[in-house]
Amino acid sequence: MAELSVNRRNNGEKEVDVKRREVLKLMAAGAAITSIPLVEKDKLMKVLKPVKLEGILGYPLGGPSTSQSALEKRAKKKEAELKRWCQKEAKRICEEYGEASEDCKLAKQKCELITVKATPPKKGTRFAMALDLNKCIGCRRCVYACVMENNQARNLHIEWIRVVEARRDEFQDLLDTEWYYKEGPKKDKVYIPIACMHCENPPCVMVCPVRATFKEPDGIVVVDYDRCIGCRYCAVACPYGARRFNWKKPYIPVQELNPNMHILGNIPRQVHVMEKCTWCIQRTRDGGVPACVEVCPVGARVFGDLNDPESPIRRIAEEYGLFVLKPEAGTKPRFFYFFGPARTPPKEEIGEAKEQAGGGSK
Amino acid sequence: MSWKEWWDTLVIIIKEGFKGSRRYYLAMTGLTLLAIYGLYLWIAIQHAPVFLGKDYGGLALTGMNDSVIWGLYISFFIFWVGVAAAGIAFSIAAYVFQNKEFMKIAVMGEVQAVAALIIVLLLIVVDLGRPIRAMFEMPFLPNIRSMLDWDFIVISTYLVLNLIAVYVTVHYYRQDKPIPRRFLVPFMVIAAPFAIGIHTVTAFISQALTARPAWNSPLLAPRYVATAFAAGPAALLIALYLAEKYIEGFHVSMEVYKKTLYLIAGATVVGLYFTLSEAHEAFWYTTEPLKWAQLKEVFYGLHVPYLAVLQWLWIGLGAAAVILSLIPVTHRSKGMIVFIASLVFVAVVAEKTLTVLLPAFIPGSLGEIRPYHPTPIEYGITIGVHAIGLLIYLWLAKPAIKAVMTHYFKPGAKH
Repeated sequence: MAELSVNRRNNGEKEVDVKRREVLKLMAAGAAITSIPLVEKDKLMKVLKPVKLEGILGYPLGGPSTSQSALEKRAKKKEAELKRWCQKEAKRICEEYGEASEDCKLAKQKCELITVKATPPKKGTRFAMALDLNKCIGCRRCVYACVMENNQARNLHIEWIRVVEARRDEFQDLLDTEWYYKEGPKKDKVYIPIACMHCENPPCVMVCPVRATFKEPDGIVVVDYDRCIGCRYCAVACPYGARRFNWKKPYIPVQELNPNMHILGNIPRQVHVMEKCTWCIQRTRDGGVPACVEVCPVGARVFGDLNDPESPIRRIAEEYGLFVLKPEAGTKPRFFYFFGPARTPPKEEIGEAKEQAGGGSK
Repeated sequence: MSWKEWWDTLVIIIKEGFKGSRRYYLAMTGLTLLAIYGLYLWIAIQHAPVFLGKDYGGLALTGMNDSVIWGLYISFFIFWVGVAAAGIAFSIAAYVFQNKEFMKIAVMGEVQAVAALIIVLLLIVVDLGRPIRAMFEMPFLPNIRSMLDWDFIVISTYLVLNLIAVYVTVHYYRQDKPIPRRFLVPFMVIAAPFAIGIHTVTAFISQALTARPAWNSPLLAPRYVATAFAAGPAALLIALYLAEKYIEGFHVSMEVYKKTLYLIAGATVVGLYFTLSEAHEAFWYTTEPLKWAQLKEVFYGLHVPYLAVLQWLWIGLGAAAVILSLIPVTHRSKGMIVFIASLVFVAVVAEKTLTVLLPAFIPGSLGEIRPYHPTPIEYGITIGVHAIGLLIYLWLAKPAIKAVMTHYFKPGAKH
């Protein structure tokens, strides 16, 4: 294109390049040709009808249902509300610690970053998570990551994931597990993290008297915090003890706030409402993975779309097989356990390494 | 029949609440104070963050937690649903079998049902985290698969039915007229299934949950209904005995006492039989570890000792009451019959409150054990709610008895 550009002569006079003139001539001819079908357009419209993108996709562009826009509106309202609250808190912090303090800067920054999304589920997605019991070392980093990511109340000790310690040799039942283990990992123990199973057939959704908790098309079971009446029937019906109630007014320091929020996920909760794991809806709906998957130091957790043949969860299912907790409850969980490749056995037990291995060989 | 007369009946019922002896006023004042204190505890302390936007308070002040999700409120809710259900038993005896002695006191069963149902509804309200939201959302966003909605529907319908019954009875009896058949027949046809229905649906709330093996048995609903027909009539007999004592000219036939005792004893036997059946399942064969652990908690009280005390109190007092009622001597005096009724009442309170509720949560669905001990605020609010129920009972029972006396106990007539 350099040859076609306007050349500047020393005397400052503009002169059009010869080649450029030819190109312009060609373009004019082209325009004359393309204008012929344009003339015919009105006649062609008799046989051709315009279609809308929504018609091809089968759902409105905003999301799979029209009610999503209502949710979006609510999210915007919530965002403004939260920003106001945050700025108030930030002001208090700045007065307490001084304008130049680290806390003050952090709080102000968090307030600006707050966004409340209402990302709708993607069509044809079916999320699932799997956890390698051979890998899990019971470090509970997923629990802490979850608390930080999902803005759980810091004054209520709400943890969505519960890691229980069970005996490896004589495991009998969940009744024998230890909840409050102090150290680990131990070689004779197995660690079982338990959170919401996002069941296919969730009893909590069945029993909710006001339809405040529901299963989204992509498989995530969510709670609408603005609708929950706090009857706690869902927690009674859950066979996995996955639901947590805000028994007091929840408190969360602004400095620790996660500003990336979803209206059905990690917006700061209200008093007397139920909450539970949402598979980090604010991350996964936008293509990410849940915080627990990201933080796991041994890579025990796998998350993905069951419908996608390329997803890691499908590979796990095909290579190692999937197992569910409490199948007798009839809830069809979408959180699976599996026994991956055997971990490196301790030196003195190298002889029995084969026995230590799980169901890795298929 | 004119609208004026119906209006007068309403005025009479309301006015009657403000008339009475010094003792009556004292009782009413005491109950009102308790009720106000309970309301204060609920609004200003337990629900302060919801109603007043305060930072303190909340349901955390109760003994409940994420393991023991329901507590004292719901346990007494279950009990009073039973008492309410039994109210209609007397109406059936009276109007279906046309027993004149029972017709005299049938309205007392309905008054008892109204009071019990008010306690029931209030206990749900104080337990709800966000009662105002519930008031708006329950009618507009119902989930027809949720048993809680169905329970709310049957309980409120049954309350309306009983209010109508009390109102109509007072209306006709105060004018010394019999209740017309064209009201009674359709009323009984509608009300009788609801009486069984309220307790059945209350049991359905919990019995189909696979998460709670202690409840997950089709025996739960029959068991609820059985002991309801022990506790409800027992409460009524105690109330009638007191009414006879304190209201001049009011008289209840010995036949009522005797026949009711048969009902109470029979229902208690069935209840004990169900407990035996449950014990057999637990101690003989069960291979389900969680169910076994939960039922063991009831019978042995390993982590919550008072649970075993309550359970054995039910078995002991229930058996004692049945044995006593089998001895012919006890049928001779009203005092003895009422004593047996009181035994049964206490036994069923022991059986159907925390004993039925707590094993589902201790141990919880993942085997967690967190003992539950109700806190003072829970006791206070529960007492306040019961005070409101008693207030309404006294208020309605007075015009009801007065109307019954106008119709059946004419001055100079032989009872």
